[in-house]
Amino acid sequence: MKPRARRWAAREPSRITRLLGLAVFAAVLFSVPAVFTRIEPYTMSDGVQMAILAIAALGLVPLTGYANQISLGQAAFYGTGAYTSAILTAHSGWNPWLALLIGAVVAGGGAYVLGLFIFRVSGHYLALATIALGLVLAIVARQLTITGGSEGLPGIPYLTVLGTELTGDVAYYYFAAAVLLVATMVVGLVVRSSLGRSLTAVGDSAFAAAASGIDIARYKRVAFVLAAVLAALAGSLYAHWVTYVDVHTLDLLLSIQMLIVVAVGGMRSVWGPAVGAFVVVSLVRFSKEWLPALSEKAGGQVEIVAYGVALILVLLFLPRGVVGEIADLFTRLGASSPPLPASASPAASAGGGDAASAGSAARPAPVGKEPS
Amino acid sequence: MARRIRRAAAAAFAAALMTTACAAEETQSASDEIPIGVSIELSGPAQVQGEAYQKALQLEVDRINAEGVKVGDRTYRIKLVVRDNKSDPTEALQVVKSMIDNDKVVAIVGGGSSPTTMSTVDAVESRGVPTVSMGSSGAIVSPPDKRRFVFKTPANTDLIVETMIEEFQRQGITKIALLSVDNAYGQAGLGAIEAAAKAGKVQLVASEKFTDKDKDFTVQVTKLVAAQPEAIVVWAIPPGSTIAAKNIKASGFTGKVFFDAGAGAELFIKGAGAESEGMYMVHPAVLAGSKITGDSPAATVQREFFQQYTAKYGNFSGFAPYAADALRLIVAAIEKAGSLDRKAIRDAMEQLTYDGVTGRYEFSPENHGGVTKDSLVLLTVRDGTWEPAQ
Amino acid sequence: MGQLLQFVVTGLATGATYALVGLGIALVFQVTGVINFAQGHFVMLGALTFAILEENGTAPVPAALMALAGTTVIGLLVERLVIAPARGAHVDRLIILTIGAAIVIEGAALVAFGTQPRIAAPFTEGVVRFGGVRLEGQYLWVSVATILAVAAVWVFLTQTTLGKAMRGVAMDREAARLMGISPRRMSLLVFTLAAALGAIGGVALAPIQHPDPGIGIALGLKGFTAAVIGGLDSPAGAVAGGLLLGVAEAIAAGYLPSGYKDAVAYGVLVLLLLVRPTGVLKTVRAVRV
Repeated sequence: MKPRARRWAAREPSRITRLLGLAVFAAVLFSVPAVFTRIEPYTMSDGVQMAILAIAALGLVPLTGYANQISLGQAAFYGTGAYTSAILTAHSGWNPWLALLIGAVVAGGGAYVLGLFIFRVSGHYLALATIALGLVLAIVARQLTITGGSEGLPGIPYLTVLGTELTGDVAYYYFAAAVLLVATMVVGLVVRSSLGRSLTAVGDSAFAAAASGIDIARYKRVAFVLAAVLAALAGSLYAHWVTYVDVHTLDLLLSIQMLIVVAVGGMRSVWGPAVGAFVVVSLVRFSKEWLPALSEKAGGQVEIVAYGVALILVLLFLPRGVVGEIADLFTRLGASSPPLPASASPAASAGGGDAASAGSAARPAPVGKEPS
Repeated sequence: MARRIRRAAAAAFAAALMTTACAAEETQSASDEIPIGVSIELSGPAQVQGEAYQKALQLEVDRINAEGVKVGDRTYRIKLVVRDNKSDPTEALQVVKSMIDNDKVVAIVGGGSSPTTMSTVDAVESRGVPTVSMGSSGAIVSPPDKRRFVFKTPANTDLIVETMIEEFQRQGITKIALLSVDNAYGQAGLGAIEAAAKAGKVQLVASEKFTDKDKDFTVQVTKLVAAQPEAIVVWAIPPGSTIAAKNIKASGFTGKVFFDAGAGAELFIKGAGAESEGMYMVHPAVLAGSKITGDSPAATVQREFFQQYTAKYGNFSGFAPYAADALRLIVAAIEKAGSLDRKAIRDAMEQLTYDGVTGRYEFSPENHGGVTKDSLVLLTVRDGTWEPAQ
Repeated sequence: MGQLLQFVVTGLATGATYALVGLGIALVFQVTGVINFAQGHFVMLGALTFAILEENGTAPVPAALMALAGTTVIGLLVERLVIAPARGAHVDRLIILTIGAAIVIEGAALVAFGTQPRIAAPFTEGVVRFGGVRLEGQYLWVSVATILAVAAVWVFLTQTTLGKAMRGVAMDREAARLMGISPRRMSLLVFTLAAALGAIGGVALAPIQHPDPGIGIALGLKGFTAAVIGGLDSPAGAVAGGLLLGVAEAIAAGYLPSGYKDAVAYGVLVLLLLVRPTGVLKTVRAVRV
């Protein structure tokens, strides 16, 4: 087989493919307003929500997709970012960008400290611990005056970017989409780096990773901190969009929603959260349109059923999410020769966050109660 | 093979969901219709209230449209654009923006609670759409210069507390304890009671909270009773209010028990049973329904609403009047302004004095909130129903 | 001090609630290794259907039996539709799947029954008084249900062939399979059993809980905490854990600002998971496998 064809059959995505993928992604992101304003029932509010949700869920790609750590506490960090921005800008009039940074630092710092303890447990224990964490924070937020208690914090100022105040949904969408793009690039870099490879090793088999000398706990912590920072960033964006923050930003359902977003989109792909957010928000929008037609009683409740059903269906039948399945499809169509043997490069199987990352397809899901 | 088929099916299902729905219809208002947006909690934790609001609004819009709304020399019908805000602030914002930008509503009824209203305040202010909320928090209408377009129907919490305090003074009660629900609703009450205590109008000897998921408050009640208050005030909605009633009675407390307007109508009495006998509630008079005496326009309005609502839906709800009045106020403002211009409607509303189902409203540029104090009465449970206490 | 006694008694009473949920969770975990996030929802279903049937005129005993039957069927369905197809998946996926199942159950209950809290009449009216302490009579019924449940589970696991087969699977899946015991069938059986236990608990709790579809999550979480305290794979440990948790909660609410009551329960959970995930109770547990 010719060397060139061999190149394309290899699972290691070339630089060109990656940049192309990013360009396509950017193009899609920035053409959303043109589409959403024309197709019912989408609105630009949906667009902003999708972007913010995608940013928040992006952190779960290295954490859950690669390192296999189930965190159901992302909302805790999201809310931290939202509340920090709210408290500093609404109450004390600080610069919103500074507040945003502080929110990210607080969330990241908190995640670091927690990470020192929380990764002693694994699997189901971790999921429970993160749930409990979020719940404790929500309760505390309701008690303190500084967080406005149950009444929340109104009066958050709008953001001003390049001289324009972002009051409208279209403007805010462009801003949020730009942030999403940058965040995606950053996470892409992370998963392709040696850090990403280590996370994959940790996710596959903690024993093997430990045996090869990797400090498992440290890598898990790093992924946890990254996820927290991204979630806090998303939370701050939310605060300056709605201009009101209350305990709903710490809701457990939000954490579950983020998990659903990556599960649906594809946990091992940096495009996954964006795709997943799009699918989930669309599902919600459409169920609002049709279900009242089906039954009078239907409405927001059926959306909850839809979430649960979507989660189950996706986990059972689309374990690699939408992006993963599409990538799989492309690989099957594109590969005209047997794939290169695994010895080609360990990096190949850790194959980055790219549309062509069918690298995950080769690895079978670990069976049984392996500790992670 | 089977796995791949299933996978394809799941993906196709998801795709179908998205593409076929693009054919959703657009809502257009006919030229003799006035679109009024409604943002209420038809799902989520506050669904019980949302459903009561919806029923009340349905009743009202049918009644109003029977005669039509006169604007200038034309007669219009009201078209309600009802949207579920899912008891979620973010959803409420979405819904409100959509109603204003897509459905071009002239005014808005909603949200049904404080969080679902607070998130929309900036949006309706910047777009200049008069909004009448059923939420109870004072922050909804304050500070007045940032709430030019937002009004609310529930009485300001400090007025409810004032009514209670008058009764305390009448009965010689000086020491009270408070049990409140741990959310925006309860927090408003807590704040008002603490303010009254600070002003020396009453002595607050103990204060405890419970969450709306809690099903037993024995511990909190024990602490309250131990502080030896002469009366216990409960600030909650059902089922919290009913559980509180039962726990307080079970504790053997012999003092008086006062509830705020949220305690509930028949649901409360049904849940608390015989133990609710003799307990008090501050509420707009309409809850006493057929027992309202007098022929004043206000009394007539309230009796009629109570009768029509119960006739149509079987039982009454203390939440219904707030929504009914929100719509009535908007219509009254439209007729007074003689125009469908949003700003004109808002200006008219600020000069409105209106006798609604909940009571009398006297709005002004500084006062956008709730019924006047004389609309509130003290009710008590006698022989299993709510009656005026005097 | 009289107050402390009241707190402890109230704590034990609410703790019996958590114990019932924890029992089901520990049982399922013991046999299948899966944490059933939907256990609280089984309790919710039992309580809700019982209350609704009673509201519509059904006599208590038939209503209880129907609630029991209905919930057990749901448990069966959850196992067949959600757990069984995912056999072999990473334990983390299974957790998310049970979360999905819980969400579907709650959503379906919301659609079918709405959010209105239901009122069920206590089995016997009245408040029990002793030593200056007051306790709602229904809590005694809850305790009876808990004791019966534990006893039934113990008898089942130790005295019946089926129960022993289940313990076999819990001890060593492969060995059990080699002995001719089907882990898949045991999985189905234990889920059905857990649903039945949850339903019984729900029926006993209905007059106290004022059930609506939303009570499942809180019950489930408190039940997990109970199970974790007891070591997660020990049903009797879970019961003891539940009681301990109830008392700890009550005392915390008694001596701290009551707004932080739930924070204490969840804080306990976090601390336990971080410091002692294998559980606090080291005493011999009657049904420990």
